[in-house]
Amino acid sequence: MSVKGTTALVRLASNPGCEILGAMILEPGSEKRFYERVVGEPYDREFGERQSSKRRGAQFEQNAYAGDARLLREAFASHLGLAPDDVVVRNLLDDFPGTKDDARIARLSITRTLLKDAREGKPAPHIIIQPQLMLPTKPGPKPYFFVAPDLLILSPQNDVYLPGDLKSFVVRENELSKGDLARVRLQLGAQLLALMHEYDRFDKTAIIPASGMLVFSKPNGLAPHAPRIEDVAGGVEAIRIGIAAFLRHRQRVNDLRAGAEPYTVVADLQPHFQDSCLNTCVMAQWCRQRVAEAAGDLGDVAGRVLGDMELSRAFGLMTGDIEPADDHERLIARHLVDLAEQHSIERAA
Amino acid sequence: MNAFDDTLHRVLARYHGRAIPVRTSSQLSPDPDVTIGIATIKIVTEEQIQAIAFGELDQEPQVIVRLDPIGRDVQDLEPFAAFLGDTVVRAAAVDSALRLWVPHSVTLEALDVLGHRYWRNQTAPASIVRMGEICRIIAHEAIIPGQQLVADAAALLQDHVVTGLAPLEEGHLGAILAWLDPTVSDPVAEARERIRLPASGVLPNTPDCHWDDTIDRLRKEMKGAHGARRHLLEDQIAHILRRAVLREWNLLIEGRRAFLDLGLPSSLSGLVKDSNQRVRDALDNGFFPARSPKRLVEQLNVMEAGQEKSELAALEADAMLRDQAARAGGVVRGEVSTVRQNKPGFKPCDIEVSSDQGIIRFRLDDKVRIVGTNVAGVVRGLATAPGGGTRVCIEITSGVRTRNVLTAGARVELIREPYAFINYRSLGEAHTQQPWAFYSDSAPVLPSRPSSGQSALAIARAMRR
Amino acid sequence: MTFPLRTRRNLADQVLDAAIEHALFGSAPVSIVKSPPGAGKTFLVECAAAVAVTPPAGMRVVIVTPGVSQLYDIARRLLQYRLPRLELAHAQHRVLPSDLVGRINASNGWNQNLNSGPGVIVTNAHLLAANFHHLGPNAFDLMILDEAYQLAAGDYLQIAYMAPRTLMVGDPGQLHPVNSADTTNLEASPHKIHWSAPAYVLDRFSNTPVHGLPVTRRLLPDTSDLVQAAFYRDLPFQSVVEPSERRLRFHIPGLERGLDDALDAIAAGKSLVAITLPGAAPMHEEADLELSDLIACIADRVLLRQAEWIGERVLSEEDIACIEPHVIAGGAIRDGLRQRGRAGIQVDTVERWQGLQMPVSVVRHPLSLPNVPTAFDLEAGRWCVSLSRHQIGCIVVAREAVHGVIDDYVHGCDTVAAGARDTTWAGFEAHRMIWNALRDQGRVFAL
Repeated sequence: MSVKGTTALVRLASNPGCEILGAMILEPGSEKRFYERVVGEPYDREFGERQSSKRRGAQFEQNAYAGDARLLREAFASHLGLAPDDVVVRNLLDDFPGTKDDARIARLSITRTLLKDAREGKPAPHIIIQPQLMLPTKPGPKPYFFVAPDLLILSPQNDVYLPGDLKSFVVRENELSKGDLARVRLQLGAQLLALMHEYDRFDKTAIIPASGMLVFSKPNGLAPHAPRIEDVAGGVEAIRIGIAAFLRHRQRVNDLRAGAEPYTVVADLQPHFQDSCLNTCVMAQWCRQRVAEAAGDLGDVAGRVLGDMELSRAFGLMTGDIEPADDHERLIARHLVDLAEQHSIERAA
Repeated sequence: MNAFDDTLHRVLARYHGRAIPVRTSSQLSPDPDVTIGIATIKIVTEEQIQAIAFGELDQEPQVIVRLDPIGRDVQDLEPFAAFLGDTVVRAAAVDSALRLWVPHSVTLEALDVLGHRYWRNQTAPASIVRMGEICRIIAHEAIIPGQQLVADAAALLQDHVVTGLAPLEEGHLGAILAWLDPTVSDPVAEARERIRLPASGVLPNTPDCHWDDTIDRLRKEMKGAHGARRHLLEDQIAHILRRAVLREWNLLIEGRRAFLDLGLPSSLSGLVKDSNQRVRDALDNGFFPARSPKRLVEQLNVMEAGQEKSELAALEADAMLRDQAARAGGVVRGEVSTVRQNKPGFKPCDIEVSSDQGIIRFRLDDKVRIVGTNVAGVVRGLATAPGGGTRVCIEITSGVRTRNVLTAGARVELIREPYAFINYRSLGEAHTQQPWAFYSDSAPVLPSRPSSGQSALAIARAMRR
Repeated sequence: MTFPLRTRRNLADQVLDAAIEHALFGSAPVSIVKSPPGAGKTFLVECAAAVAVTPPAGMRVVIVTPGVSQLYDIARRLLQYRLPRLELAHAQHRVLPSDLVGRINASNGWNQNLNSGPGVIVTNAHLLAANFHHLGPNAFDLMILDEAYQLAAGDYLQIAYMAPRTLMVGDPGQLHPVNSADTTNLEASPHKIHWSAPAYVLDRFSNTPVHGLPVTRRLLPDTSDLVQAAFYRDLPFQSVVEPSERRLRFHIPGLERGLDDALDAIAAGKSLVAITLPGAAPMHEEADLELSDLIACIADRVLLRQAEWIGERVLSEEDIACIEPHVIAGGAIRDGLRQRGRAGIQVDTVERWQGLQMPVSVVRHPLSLPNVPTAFDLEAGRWCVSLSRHQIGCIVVAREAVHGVIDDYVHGCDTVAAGARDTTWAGFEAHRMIWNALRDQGRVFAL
């Protein structure tokens, strides 16, 4: 998995207990490739962003950045307390376009200069487009993550920048799915954590508010909504937990693989399958096999209620074919029998 | 249902290979005379509809496929606009409520976005603008708890049955239907196979069914194509889109049938009336999203009133829900122990109800009702019985002639009446008065008043008795 | 009283005076007073009313309460003053409590004889809104919103024009107005009418004068410091309670290790302690019966050991509060108390304890649950109310598993609408701070 961008960090924050995820992040190449190498078969489902999404995302950004970022200046003017024409924008893609490493490094260097300039009271743009930040996870393989918010916006209060992201999916009033909300907030959390690391490099007194900004698309055309200020303190901590987990998983994978590729030791790793994996992870079906005949196959809640009880055992308790082994099972059996009778009676009627 | 009960139901459903009902009543009233269905296929993230199937549910649907959904030409939407407009007119003509079935909430979102794009579009024809407005009315009514306009098949099934899948998997309409189809012998495997292809109003894009990528490629090619080649590409696009939207339509039909086959009764006349009134008003007078403080308060109050009323309606109709509510004190079951009524059939009338329940959520002066009757009253007393039960004293305010209930020994169930009053007049007056805190951008500056020069504490101390 | 305490009390008095002065005589039409638990909020309301009706002010004052029980309580307090006029208006179907009958001019609904000349009428927002046609703009000279953070902005809208001056008094750390409907879209609106009235006004008019009462007269210093740090980061306050006046003595020594150790810790001056029961809450029941029984046992034990509030009285059942967030578990606690012959000890949910105080409280930890904590469980306001009712001692009761719930929590970031303050995370941080402090200070007693 790539360490460019926040995808890996967001996934770790969402499921820090999963060692398989750790191996996937360490393995070069795409997630689908990882699946194929582990399972030995092509991935048979859809995964990844659709062409229409990528296109719209690119168009939304292009629109926002056009004309010296006129739409962005209008969107952020009120937040900055300035007239749109007075908002200064610096687009780092103009200086060093592209996604190659040397372009990223160059943008990182400029970003660091601009952060410092603002803190020192020197002229600095109000909005930086396509900055680059780095989140260290050294020593060890994959010693850092490249983190690239779409924007950095200068906070009017204290000369620090806050991260911002453009999200091209349509928001009518304020409706977002929980999944999307969690993901974009964790992305901001990762960006904020990276920003904190950057500031810490040269100014330990800088206080970075735990906020980020999101700009969604209106339903009509590609017009941006007014930015939403997101409270991401919880997201920052979740990312920290995710990084700590990554360091642990990395150590474990390295201990096991002895130089071989990470995917080779997956069978010895502990997955942490949860319902949300079904919507987000290529390995979900494979990890699910570990709970296939257990209560966890009925969902996270059932897994907590019944523990690691096999479903066949639960059926046996219900039919009376299996004697309960303890008080917990006695209780489960009693309730299952009552429920079964209730529904049998209804069906018979 | 709590986590434990939900889990047990899932175990039972998995064992039997069938969905288990968890309600004994329906939260949807019977379909009115004018009932239609809509299914859509959208472009992901663009939120542009690229195919629609619509029509009455006992007929083959009309299908529109949009070769260029992102373009400005909206002629292809005209048949859908005409259908919506005609449906609304027809409902008004026969004085019928309207009902729209959709397979799932993504269809509603797609209609709402369609509505946002066209309802005030000054370059679109009047029929398209009206279509946009109707879509917005539909989407707005759909968010009001207890509404009866929109029947979301997936949501209805999820609310009324439990399967042997994980809850997340039940969000896939095809998956949940596998548990309601007696011809499916292995619903686990069947459901999980169905989940491979989305049932969420988008084109599939799996390695073995990559319609989304295909359409993308065909549209790109079509841009530079002419003549016969162009026609061929158009046909191919139309074929895929038609198949996809009919797949959604069939899910809708099957979902509706499965829900109706549950055979759950409903008693929702109040909710039906409220919902119809709102929809009728909007269709007749126009849709105006709430922006002013007064309208926002009204809208919030409407939603809260809907929530209260639908919870009460569910409780009244569903013994299973009443069982759960009784455990938490929301329903009080007991026996009428005393009736004080000077003249039978007349007020004043007070009763005492003795209940074994130790947990009761009623408070003094709460308005309550006896389930299944027209008897209502106000709680005037609550006392704990020595054995742990409770005695509730109620001043009866209506239904005093219902003697079979207002008699010692009668077993009753009490529920709290919903607080669903919306003071439109007061809100209207507030809007007229335009208090600055809500309607102005700046606070007024009051003329300072001369104070006494004494400390507030000293003044208060001097005034104490 | 020690010098520091006297100084703090004097400062608090100065803040009270300034707040009332600004509200009644200043140029700002709205003033907000943020009042931590036990700060003397109701006393401020009484003082403001007294000043308002006295010359030269001579105002017609309306005091608006969110609910009817607060209405009667304020009326009782105001009866202690010689006011030129004191009236009460409540809903048509209400019956005046017997202790107020004959002592106050009470009206079911509104009548034209009310509100004549300088004086005070106590009522609630719904009644005023229902009688708007009798009232009009500036029907009153001063509107005091008591427990203002419990009044939704949408309710305030309907009465805001009835007075040119409004004094909002309330506790920002406690429970805010409850919304049963989905308020997602309102978070993106310039009018967040689902917020509390003070929060709404401050959101739109950030220059609104705000006064913070800097003291608590209820909470002892150790509880006060924790509660302030956890729930009131923007409102510094300190305890002005003389610890020697809030001491508990047990006439019967303790025998049960763990449980009595916790009670002895309270007697030794630690006003906030915790007791943990081994294991985790059972998944199969709606209430953790063992834990509920422990709560009943603790409440009973306080009385069995003949707890005495030194210098005041031997404690009785009326002096103990059992605070349980869930109704069914509350019922289990009541059963336990009844079996022990303690049916007079009040058990209730957090919502019903808001605004009240007791010498001793026994609180079920909201995260002592079998499931992953939800936004409801983590809500800061609910926890703040639970931990701020006690005048002498609070015993938090939890399963041992709560250590893991707090240590292993990973925030999902999906519980609040886009653009909304993450109150779930704020609640978790408060939980973590409090629990870690109790642990670090050796105040968690394991059974």
